[in-house]
Amino acid sequence: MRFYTNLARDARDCNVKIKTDNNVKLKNFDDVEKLAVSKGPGKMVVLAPEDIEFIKAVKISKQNGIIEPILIGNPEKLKKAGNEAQFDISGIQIINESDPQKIADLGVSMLFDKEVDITGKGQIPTSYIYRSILKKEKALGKKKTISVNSIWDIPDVGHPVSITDPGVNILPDYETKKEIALSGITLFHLLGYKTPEIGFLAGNINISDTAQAAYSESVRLAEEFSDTDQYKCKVANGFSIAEILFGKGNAPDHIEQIDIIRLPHILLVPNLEAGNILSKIDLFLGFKRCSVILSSAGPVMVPSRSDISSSIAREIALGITLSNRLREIGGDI
Amino acid sequence: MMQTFSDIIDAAKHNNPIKTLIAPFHDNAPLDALLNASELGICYPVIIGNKKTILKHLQRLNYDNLPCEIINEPDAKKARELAISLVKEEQHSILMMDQPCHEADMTVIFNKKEIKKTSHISVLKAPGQDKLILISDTFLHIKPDIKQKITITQNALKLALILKIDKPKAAALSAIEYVNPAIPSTIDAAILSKMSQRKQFGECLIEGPLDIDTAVSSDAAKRKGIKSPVTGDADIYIAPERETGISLSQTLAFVGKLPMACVLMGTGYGVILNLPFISKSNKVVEIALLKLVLQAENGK
Repeated sequence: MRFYTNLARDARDCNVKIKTDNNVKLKNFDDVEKLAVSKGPGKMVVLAPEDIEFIKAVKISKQNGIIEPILIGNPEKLKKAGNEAQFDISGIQIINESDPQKIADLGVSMLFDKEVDITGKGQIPTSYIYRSILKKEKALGKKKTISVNSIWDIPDVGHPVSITDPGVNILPDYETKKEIALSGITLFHLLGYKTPEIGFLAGNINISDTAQAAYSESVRLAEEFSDTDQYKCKVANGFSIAEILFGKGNAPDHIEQIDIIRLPHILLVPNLEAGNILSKIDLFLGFKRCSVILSSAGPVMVPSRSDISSSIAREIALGITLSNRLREIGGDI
Repeated sequence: MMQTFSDIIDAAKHNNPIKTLIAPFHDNAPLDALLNASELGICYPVIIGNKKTILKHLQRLNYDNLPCEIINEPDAKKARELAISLVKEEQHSILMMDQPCHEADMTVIFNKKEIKKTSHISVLKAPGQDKLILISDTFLHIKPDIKQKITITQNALKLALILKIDKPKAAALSAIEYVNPAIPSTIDAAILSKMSQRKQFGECLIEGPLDIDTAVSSDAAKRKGIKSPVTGDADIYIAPERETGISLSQTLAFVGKLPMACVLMGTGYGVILNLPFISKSNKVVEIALLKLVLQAENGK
């Protein structure tokens, strides 16, 4: 709370000028949060924040002027969660709905109908939201697939690192991986990176024909995305974390010699399991993480049901920042 | 319980040095690790290759007085064949691959039956905890079926016991924490968990399916309604498939900067794959680790 109050003071009261044009690179979540405070509030619909951590995140974001929330869910449960979080929700618009699919459909429709700037998940399974977004995208003929970008803020790296796709596509084929990659690249363009670097993870251990096939697919993707003019990105050299960080040679003998600055902006994982498990490694290593789906109508924030309020509030700030930048470049993705 | 790589090295110093073969010798062979392990009293090097070249090399490294055996076999293919046959015959000995292992090497060393019983385990220092963690499979089994996952689990539990982890706790990982037929690894994890409940793996506790947040954090698990002693305190992480195992172990090791060593379990004899992402000093740990494994397996 104190942190956010400081942010608000820095951004507004103390007249700190924060540049908002699309060329400014947002290097970490502090940059993102400052920008969100300076540009807010944006309209956000929150899907069933019927749990103390989710409602607390709404409270923090509202108090810091980042969002004007609309809540969808069971009014009694929302009120109870609000009371637990010492958050008076009486002045907030509440849409009464208890069916998780209907909650997701309604919240996603509000984003696509431009009634809100971002949609955010509360305590409902993410699969309902994926289904709603995909229905909309397919009905509008905009996107064949959607994907999640789980973004790490790792100290000393100097730029965010996104793992994609940890959420939607169980075993993506070549064309789906291309769409996933494009979504990640678009995200980084919005974060101010003109030519983000992307790494196509494949394990890269030649042990069988199947592994070779998966590796070959990553090699093909790497070759295709090397066309910087077309894809507006660079391709990392290597197909595993080890290769990307220190090439095909031996690991350095001293851990300190590993230069994690070499991590690319985007790491495209071969399947959902690898993505999901890798993306949440922040819990092991103490990074900060935010997860977002870039739908063609704007950001949908998908925090994990295990996330705590500070992390969800950070994610909301990212959503508002991305929404603002989308508006600045003029509309749909 | 062994809590650090130093503990592994110390434990491996106790018994007689184990014969560790390297063949064919060449300039890029990982001789340093072998020589360092030898100095620590962990292994007794057996170097196969062109004897003159080997002696020159040892002299250059000031290791000319090191107790070791040199077998003169200048032909590289024959040198490797000899090393493999010696390791298979003697059992209580280790083959250090002269170069990073590839499929061709694996099929030369192991037959299909042996590969089925084998799994690859990455051992890391747990972040923020005084313990080691095991992740498997991180090399061999691309999309293990439930039979292979049982082998992977059994081998990891064996290694945990060798590291003196009492009643090891294992997290059978998947992308989500509830069973979903669309994601087969959730079903495999549930089977492993039920088998553990029925004591089919002996004295241990396996929980699954767990996603990584519920496995790593008991608070996250509570928020998702999971109560288990495994959450937040797992010793073993069973990966749903190989790419996940590799990504998880490499990210922890190289982004998290945690020491990592690997071991092949279930072979019946010792083989170190000489993977390029294992540092020289951690290759010494691999020799020590494998020595402890072979001691336990062969009752020595």
